[in-house]
Amino acid sequence: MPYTKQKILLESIRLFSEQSYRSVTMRQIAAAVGIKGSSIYNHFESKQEILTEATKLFISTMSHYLPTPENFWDMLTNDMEPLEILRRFTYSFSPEDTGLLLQLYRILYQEQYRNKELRNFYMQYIENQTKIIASIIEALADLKKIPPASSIDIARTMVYTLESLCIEATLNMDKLPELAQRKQSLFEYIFHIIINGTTLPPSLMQTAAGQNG
Amino acid sequence: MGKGKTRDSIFYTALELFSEYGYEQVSMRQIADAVGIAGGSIYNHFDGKGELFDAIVDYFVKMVQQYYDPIFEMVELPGDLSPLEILRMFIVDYTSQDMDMFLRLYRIIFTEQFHNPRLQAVFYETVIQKPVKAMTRILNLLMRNGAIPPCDSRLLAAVWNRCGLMFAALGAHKDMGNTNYQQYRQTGEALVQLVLNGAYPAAPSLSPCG
Repeated sequence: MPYTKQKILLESIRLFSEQSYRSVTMRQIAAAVGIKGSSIYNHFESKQEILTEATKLFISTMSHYLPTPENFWDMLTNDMEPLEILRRFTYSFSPEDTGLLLQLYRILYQEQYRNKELRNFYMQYIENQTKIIASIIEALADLKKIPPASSIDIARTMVYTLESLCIEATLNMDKLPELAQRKQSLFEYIFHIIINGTTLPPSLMQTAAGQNG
Repeated sequence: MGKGKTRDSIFYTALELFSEYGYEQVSMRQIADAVGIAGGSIYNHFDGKGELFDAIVDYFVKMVQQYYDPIFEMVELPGDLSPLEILRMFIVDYTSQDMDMFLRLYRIIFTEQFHNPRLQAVFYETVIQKPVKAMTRILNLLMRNGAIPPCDSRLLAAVWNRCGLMFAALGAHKDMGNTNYQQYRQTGEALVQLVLNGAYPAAPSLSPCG
């Protein structure tokens, strides 16, 4: 991406997250970048296009942090502990984050109720994360690294719990270290639950499966 | 219309419009129009949008308190309910009766808290601190009665509440209510079973958190 275009994108993300997507104008973005109001349109057709680009940046930033399902087998070959494997797959934020990721989260969180594109993107993202974690839990159980687990429920518990902490982190950056600490203890506690067995009685498993369909 | 009735009508209309379009996007005039009163007379009931918003926040706080206050006032657990019923009643089902209203309020509060520090504090106290305390109390009472195996009640309550919050955030999307609610029930039910079966162990080395 050309330098000016990148600069526009980053300034937009900063402004959208500090104020809101709706209230920021193209003119304001241009001023923040230090270019003329009209020349911003040489790079982006509309504010919506900037937002779409920001969503792509969120995906690519997250993909730096999150392993792919294929990495799972490398981790196993390298004898990585199940706790560590799950920790890497559930990455959401850390105190070392350089603002960008949290700014992107902040835009997602506050605009999701007003913008259909973001809403669909975010819902899909959470659902995918949950499914990936569920399949990792299943694979770990198949390999007898952890006891059999009600994978989808525990995955949802894990993903949702951590996501809720991430929302709070974007609201209050000062609390970042404290929230990261909490994230760690809640994550470890959920892992503790997995290790100590989460098999549901067969009757309930069936009800759960029924509700899924 | 009597004064109280008009005030109520303004309140519920504002709630509807804020949750639909966002606080910033709605004007006092629009609210008055939707209610069917003259633009100026809305100010006989509310000084401005800010006051309306505060009334909505107060309503939300009261609504959540309604669920949790009885838990703090309870001397002992209701004797006619099984542990399963108690966990379901106080943890899984606690918002189900007013689900639509709850999610509508949640959508307003969730969006606006990004721009309103006071609201952030209210939100933290109302949907994080208080529920965790209440759920911890329920679990402690159950443990004291020997109705469930020992568990780290505070950590468990924190996980439970965090997870529930995320369900609320997703459920606040207009057409998501139903799918989300099914998933919520399923996950909640799974967690209840885990508590009853003792799969939540004590974890003294980990620090409690909300």
